Formats: sequence, structure tokens, C-alpha cells
Amino acid sequence: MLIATAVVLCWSCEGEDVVPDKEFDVTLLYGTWRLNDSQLYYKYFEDGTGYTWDESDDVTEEEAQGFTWTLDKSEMIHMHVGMALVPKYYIVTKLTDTQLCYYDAYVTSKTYQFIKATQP
Amino acid sequence: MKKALKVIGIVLVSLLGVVAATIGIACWLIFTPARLTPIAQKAADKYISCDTHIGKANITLFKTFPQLGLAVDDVVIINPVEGAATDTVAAIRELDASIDLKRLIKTHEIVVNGIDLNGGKAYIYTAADGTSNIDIFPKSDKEKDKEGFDLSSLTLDVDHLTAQDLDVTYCSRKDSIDASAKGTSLNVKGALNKGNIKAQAELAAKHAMLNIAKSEPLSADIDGMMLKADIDALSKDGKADATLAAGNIRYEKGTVEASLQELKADVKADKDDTLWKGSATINASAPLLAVNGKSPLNAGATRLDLEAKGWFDGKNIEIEPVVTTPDISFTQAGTQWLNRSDVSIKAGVRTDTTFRRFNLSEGDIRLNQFALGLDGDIALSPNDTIGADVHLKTNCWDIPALLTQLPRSVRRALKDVQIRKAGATLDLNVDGTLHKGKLDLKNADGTLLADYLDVTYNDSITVITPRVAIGLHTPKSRKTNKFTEFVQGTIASPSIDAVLTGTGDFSLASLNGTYSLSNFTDKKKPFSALASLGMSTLKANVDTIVAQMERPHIDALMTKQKNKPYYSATLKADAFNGNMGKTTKLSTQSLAIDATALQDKTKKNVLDQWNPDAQIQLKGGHAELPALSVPIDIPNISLEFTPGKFNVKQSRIVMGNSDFALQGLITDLNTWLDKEGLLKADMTFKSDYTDVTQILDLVSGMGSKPKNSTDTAASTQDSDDSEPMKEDNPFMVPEGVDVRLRTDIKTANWNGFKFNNVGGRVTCSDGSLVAEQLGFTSQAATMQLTAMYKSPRKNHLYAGLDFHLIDVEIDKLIELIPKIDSIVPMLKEFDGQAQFHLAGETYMKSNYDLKLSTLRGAATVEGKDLKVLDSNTFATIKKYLMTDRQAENKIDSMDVEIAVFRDEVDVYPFRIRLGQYEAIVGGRHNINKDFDFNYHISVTDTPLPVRLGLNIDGTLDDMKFKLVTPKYTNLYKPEKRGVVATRSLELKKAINESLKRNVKSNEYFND
Repeated sequence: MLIATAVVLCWSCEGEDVVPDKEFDVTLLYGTWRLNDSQLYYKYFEDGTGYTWDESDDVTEEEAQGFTWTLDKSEMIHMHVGMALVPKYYIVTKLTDTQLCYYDAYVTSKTYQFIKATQP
Repeated sequence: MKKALKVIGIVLVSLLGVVAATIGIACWLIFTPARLTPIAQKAADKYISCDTHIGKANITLFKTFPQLGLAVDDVVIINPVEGAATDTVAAIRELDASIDLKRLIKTHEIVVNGIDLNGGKAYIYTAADGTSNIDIFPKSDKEKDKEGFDLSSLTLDVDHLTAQDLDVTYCSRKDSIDASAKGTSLNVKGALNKGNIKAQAELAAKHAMLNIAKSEPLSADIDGMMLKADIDALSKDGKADATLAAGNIRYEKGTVEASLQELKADVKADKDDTLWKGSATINASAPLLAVNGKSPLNAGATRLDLEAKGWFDGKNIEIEPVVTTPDISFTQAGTQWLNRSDVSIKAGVRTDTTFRRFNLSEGDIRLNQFALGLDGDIALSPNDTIGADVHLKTNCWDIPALLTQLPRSVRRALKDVQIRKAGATLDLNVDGTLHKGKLDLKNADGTLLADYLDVTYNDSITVITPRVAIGLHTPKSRKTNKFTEFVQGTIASPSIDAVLTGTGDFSLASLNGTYSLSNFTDKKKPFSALASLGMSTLKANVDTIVAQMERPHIDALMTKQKNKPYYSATLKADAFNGNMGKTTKLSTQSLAIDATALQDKTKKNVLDQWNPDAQIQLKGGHAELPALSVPIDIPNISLEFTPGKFNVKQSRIVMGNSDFALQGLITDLNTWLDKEGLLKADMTFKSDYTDVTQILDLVSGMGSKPKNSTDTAASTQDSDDSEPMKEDNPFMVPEGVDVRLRTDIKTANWNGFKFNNVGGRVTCSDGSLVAEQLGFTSQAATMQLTAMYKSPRKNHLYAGLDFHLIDVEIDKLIELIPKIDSIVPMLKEFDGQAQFHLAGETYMKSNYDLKLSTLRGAATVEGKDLKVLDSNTFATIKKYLMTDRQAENKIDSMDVEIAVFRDEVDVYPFRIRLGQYEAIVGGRHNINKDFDFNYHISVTDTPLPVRLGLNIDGTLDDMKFKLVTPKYTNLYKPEKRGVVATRSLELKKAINESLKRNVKSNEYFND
């Protein structure tokens, strides 16, 4: 049984590694975004920096942690800088002036939906 | 007055002449009043230049028998002078003169040997221009008068000279003098011959007065005066007795008023060749003295008694007066200094006729029961300098009783001092001079002895001692290195106890010391004092603290430098023992403190004001603290404190298993106190052996408050709501400080791991605590650690670290950092050496629970020739991936990059080779309650024709395996791999590089 399954899997296609070829207006990203049904915020600045905080964890905006970001087509990378360099790699699926949706490129099943909290 | 006496003398002599002439005429020519009176009038006109009237003159024989007498009645002398109250100079009712009848018959000499005056008045007046109404004698007599009146050349032999009921008035406008004597009587008997006097005299007056109206008016009057004198003064021997009695006496001059109600004075004197001996007794009742003015003074007593005896040899005088005044009261400026007190003064005083040198012997001054003995020499110099070499000695003064004698105002000034018991005795020799208020002490030696002292100051400080002796002597000016000593002395007491209300009790035993003072009378030089005190023990009992110092010795100096107060003190003690409660104990084998301070009152903060400079040395220190389960031993510590700087010069501390030495500087204290800068410290921490685990256990929870604390510190609710709210008191990093600590630990023990050569820097700078690039080695690995802790607020605490373990044994790594198993769970499946690099940061709540939303971390594990341990999981994987069961469980190499973001742990795809097999592993797990994970293994090289992928997900308790299409087949095939794979490798590389960026070379660890 195991061997048969293996043979089938061997001839099947390799796991997909495709990123949607979509362009987004990066200026729409500037400002503060709040994750749906949470108090988690991200704030993006025009210069490629930003910070994030979670008020449910008793963290205020003044105490937010910084990151740098890039948005290249649908690829958005957050580089959280501090004692450690921690990258997060996302694939953006929707970016409007009120909505931001992306999923985790590493664990594709994990999706995020944000709504615009404030303009820049 | 002298001139007035002279005038009176001239008048008496003149009258005697007139009487003698009258008697002569009466005897030889006319014996009847009708004949005698004109003759007497004529004779008077001859000798007296002004108008005279004689009522009747008569010869008496029987009235004056056996003398011949001439009785003249109603003699009036008139000499008007402008301004005089009357033109009558004298009006005598009866004047009897006795003539020696024998000598008259035998030698035809008229010798008047007695005169009796009875009733009459005399008025002597001198105008402002000097004209006098007694200028009544012919010119020849006036010229004689101008030549002067010499009593010594006068020869008199008076059988008797009496006067009764005479009123005498003297008025001098020239000298502004008014004087009078009413009801005056006189009885004189005696002879004056070439200076030898033998006489008895009685002088009495019902009332006498004297007024002198000058710039400072003087007035005096006396009632019922009686003076008796018996003088027998020959050229070699003699004696004189005099008695003066008077009723009311009043004296007033300027602002001074004095009076007494009754006076009795007896004076006796005997002369033997040139030596006079005498005694005097004066008794006065109700003496009063008042001095009016800005500071009025009043003194009064029921009696004033003086007894004195003495002698005079022509050069030297000695008197021994005894003055007693019972019930004396004395008030000055409204302040009553004495109230019905008994005062007596007794002394032997010897001086010479210059009255400039006095010798006092057996002097005794008493105020009630308080006595002051006085002996010595006093000299008065022409330049107003008073020199004294005296000995003062008191009896034991009962100070509380003495205070009751002091005025209320003084007692009010001392209201904060409550003296329950104190006896003081002073024994002092003083040799010095006083010139214009400036005291110049040549020598002083003495002792002030307090027999018992029980004093409370301000209801807060009580001092009790059975005995304190303070010695004093002024040596010849001796210069110390600081000042010229003026007074030197000793202080000794068997014990002194002090109670500071609300603070504690202090006591010392066997106090012995010396002190010296500068010349405190010299206002031009600053006052300085030096003390050296030694004692057998010094104890303190403050709250629950009981401390004792053995054989402490204190040297203290107070002076001025650069016109600023300067203090220095040294303290040396053989041993110090202190307990706080039953659990805290401190002790030293020796303690030495050497401190100085230069006070500058213009500065604001305390350190700037005092500029302290201190050296502290402690040996054999031992401390037991309730918060520490092990004692702390301090074999030695040497500290130096200078303005703005604290220097730990040398120290050695043993705490539990650890021993270490702290050394270095703490600076910028002043700017820190002024809140203008940071407190800076640069220290080294050297240790042969530091048991980190024990120290952390020891200090864990130190400073936290009890659970019932009312502190409003941030609190956190446990995850379980049923748990009660707990108060948290996390470690808050001090702000306003910049502390740098260099560590040099030969061996550090942490959880059984021994780290060698732990070197690096720990800083605490303005709210951040940083252990920077601490490098160390152990049997398991060579390590490097940078750690940071910040406490911006209680419920928002920051912790970050950058940790590198070079060539670490994986099992030791997990043992060293158990939490690593949560981040890299598969690590426990391997055995062998690896390099481990970890960096991360997070914020924490006040109870140190992680705020997961802030957790950031990255790690890399690199290993070669790792052995894969047998386990069910590994066996299952091998089964699914159809690897050779006999294949050696050895991984040639492994390179894992891990990123932690919030609760997500991403294990970036890494390649492992197991014999002929190669696989790529990657995935994510979550640091949540379930610890769920999702991993994938792609077989990329195998002797088999198929390459399989395996998904492993679920939880550790419920692990699920599923064969899937391999995901990472092309990960290391650049031409085939996709965008996500490419990006993953880039990020993996970035993580790796960032983690290794701070790794030091091997030399760093071996240095």
C-alpha cells in the first residue's frame, strides 16, 4: 500500500511554487491597518518602515516594534529588526484604500485580513 | 568742702580771739554787762570788718568755775551779699568762753580753753563771682588767709568746745552747692600739737543734706546722724575709735539712687610705731540701690553687714572683709536675677598704697548654697590692663537648684533643656590679662566635674552619665599642623547613655580623650577644635538594630580652610557587631574611616555643600541577611570617597559558594544629585569562582513586597480566573545612572555547568541593563552572550539577548537551555556537536509572562556528523520515506535557520544527509497551548527510484504522518526552484548572517 502510494506520488506533480503576478498601488498601504476582530495594528510609512503593536497585549502605539517592508508586486516582506532579524514573507491578494488581505507564503493556509484604521 | 572747713576754722579761731579780748577787757577794766557790752562790740568791730551786734556781754566766774568765763548773748554778724538769702552770716544766742584763771593771774596770759555755743544759725554764702559773705575780716587777716591756712601748724588745747542746737547752711552759687545741717551739736575735747592729736569728739545732727547741681546732680541727706571719735595719735603710737550711727540716709547722683534706713559703723584702729591695726563693723538695714536708665538696675536687701579687720604699715594694707546680705533681691532691665537670696563675700585682700596690686586669699563668695572660692593676685596696669593669676573653686553646684535661682527669662531660654539631676564642680587656675575687653590667657588649668548628669534636650535627646570630668589647661602656644592650640584638655567618663526619642538608645563606656581649642577670644582667627576620643565600647540600639563597636577611637578636627568650615574625622574600631532583629547580623573584625569635609554653604546639593572626602577600610566583615540563605563574608574592602567620586579601591567578598572582588569608580555624583546628568560607574567584577545559580536563587525575589502590600503596582491576573489577583514587583532598572561593569570570572557555575573565563561588560545606562558580549567557555561550549533588560513600565518589561554557543554538545545545549526544545523540538533527536546562535527579544508583563505579540527571535543551528537518536518518531519517518532500516543514523551536516515571530516558529528548509539519503526538512510550529505544528520532509536523494514527501502535523501527543508530493525537490536547484523557495533561501541566509555578525573570534574567548 505504501509502495503504491509512493509510486503515485512520485509521478504526480511537485508542490506548486507560484506567486500571483499582480500589481498593487503601494501608496494604498501607507497608514494604519487593524487586523479583523483584533487589536493588532500595523502602520506603514512611505519610507519603507513601519511598526506594529497589539493593544490586547497591553502595548501602546508609542511602544510599538519597528520593521522595514517591501511590496514587490504581490510579495510583501516584513523585516522585523531588533536583537534578531526576523523576516516574514507574505503574498498580498487584495489591497484597496480600506482593505488589505494577504497570506503567509510559508504556511499558505494562514491568511490575514486588515481594514484601514487611519490614513497616513 | 575743704575750703568750707577752712572758713569755719577761721571763724572759730577769730571768735576765740574776740572772746579772749573781751574777757581781758572785762577782767581788767569793766566787769558789768553795761560796760562790757560796748567794749566787746568795739573789739568785734576791730576784728570783724562787717556789721556785728552783741546783745550782752558779761563775765561769769561761777558758771565756768574754776575758769573765768565770758558769756556773750545774741551775737549777730551781718554781711549782705547780693544773691544771698539773708544778710545775716551768723546769729548766736549764747556764746560762753572759758579763760584759764590761773594762767591769767600767774602769767597774765589769756588762754581760752573752752567755748560753748548754744542756739543759733549760720549762713555761708558764696556768689557766682566768688564773693563770700564770710569775707568779714580786716585786710591783714585776708592777706594772711591768702597765704593759706595750715592746720598742721595750729596748736590747740581745747578743754571743751561744745555747740548745741545750731543750724548751719552753706550755699555756693560758684560751685552750685547747697548744704545744711539742722539741730547740730558738737562736743570736742582735745589737743592738737605739732601733728599729735589727742581728742574726743562727738558730732550729731538731726538732719543734714547736700545738693550739688552740676552736670550730674548729686543730692544726699541723712537723718539722726551721730559721730563719735576718740583719737590718740602720737608720732609713734596711737589709736582711734570712731562710731557712726545714722537713721535714714538717701543718696542720689545722676541715674544712681541709694538709701538705707539705719546705719551703724564702728571703726577701731591701733597704731604701733608704723603699724596700724584696725577693725570695722558696719551694719545697715534695708539698703537699696537703683540705677535708672536704659537698663535699670534695682538691688535691695533686708540687711547689709560688713565686718573687716586689717592692718597698714605705711606701705602695705591688708583687710579681711566679710560682707553678708541676707534676703537680697536684684533686678536688671526687668529681669530678676536674685530673689531674697543670701549672699556673702569673704576674702583676705592685701595691697599697697599704689592700690595697683591685690592679693586675694581664702576668698569665698556664696549665693545661697552655691560657693565660689577665690585666691590669687590681681594687678592693675596704668594702661587699663587687668592682670589676674587666680584660682577658682566651687563646691558641688546642684544645677537644677541653680536654675531655679536664674531669672525666668533665662529659664525660658533654656526651656528646651530639662535637667533632672546634675552636680557640677569647677576647679580652675587662670593666669591672664584683660585689656579693652580682650582676654589674653597665659595659662589656665582646671577641671569641670559633673558628678551626675541626667538631661533631656527638646524632649528628644536624653543624656545620663554618673560622672564626666573635663580637664582644661592652656599650654604655651603650640602649633598643630592645623591651628595654634589655645586650650587643651581632657575628657573622661565611666559611661554615657543617650536616648534619642523615636530613634534609639546609645551608650559608651570608659570614655577617655583629649581636646584642644584655638583662641576663641581672637575674633580675627577662625575657631578651631581638635578632639581625640577613645572608649572601650560604643553601643547603639535603634528600632530592631543592636550594634556594638569595640574599642573605637575617634579623632576629629573642626577648623576653617579658605574661610570655609573644614571638618575631618577618623574612626578606628577593633570590632563591630550589629544585629537587626534575629535574622540580620553584621560584624567586622576591624573598621577604619578617615573622612574630611569642606563646607560651602553657597552650593545647593548636599555633596557640593560638604565636599566630603572619606577613606573606609573594613576587614573581616560578616553579614547574615534574612533574604539570603547564606552569609556574606567580606575579608577586606577599601573605599575612597572624594567629591563627586566614589572609588572602590579594593574589595573581596565571599557570598555562598562565590567569591568576587569589586573595584572601580563611581563618578558624577554631583551632577546626578543636581539632576543635571547621569550617575556614572565603571567597575570590574573579578572572581575566581561565581556560582551564578546560587546567586540568582539568593537574589530572586529580593526587594519584592509582601502580598498584603498596599502598593498600587501593576498587577496581573493569572490565566486561571479563580486565582486571586497577585501583586507583582518586577525588577525596575534604575534610571539616571550609567554603570559599566567589566566581568572577569575564572569559573562560573550555572545549573551545574562550569563556564570559564567569563569576560565582558555589563552596563546599566539610563533604564537599560545590558550584559554586553560576555564571553566564556565551558566543557560543553565556547559561549558569547549579550543580554538586555529594560523596564519602561511595570507591565511592559523588555528582555533581549544575543547568544552564541560555539561547538556545543547538543544534549548539553538542551540541558543548558531547556526552552530551546520548544523552539527547535527536533533538536533533541540529534546527538553531537553544533554551533548554536540565538537572538531574540520580547516584552513581558509585570509577572514576567511573555507578551507573545512582541516576541521576535532567530536562531541557527549548524552541525556535522550528528547522530540521530533512535526514537519512535524517527523510526516512523524512516518507514514512511522507505529509507534503509540498516542505514547508519548519522547526519553528515545540518544547517537550520529558525525565525520566531509572535507564537509562530518557522523552521526554514534545511538539508540533512543520512548515508545515501538526503532530505530537506522545513515547517512551522506554534508556541501555543496545543503546540500544534506542520512540518514537511522532502526526500531529495535516495537509491530508490521514488522521491517522497512526508507531512508531519498535529500535536506532539497526536502526531499525524501523511505521504505527500515532495515540496522542496528543487530548493537547491536554482534553475528549477520557484519564487517562494528562492525567497526562503534568501531570508534563511539573511538570518544566518545577522546572527553571526556579532560572533567574536576564538582568540576573544581564550584571552
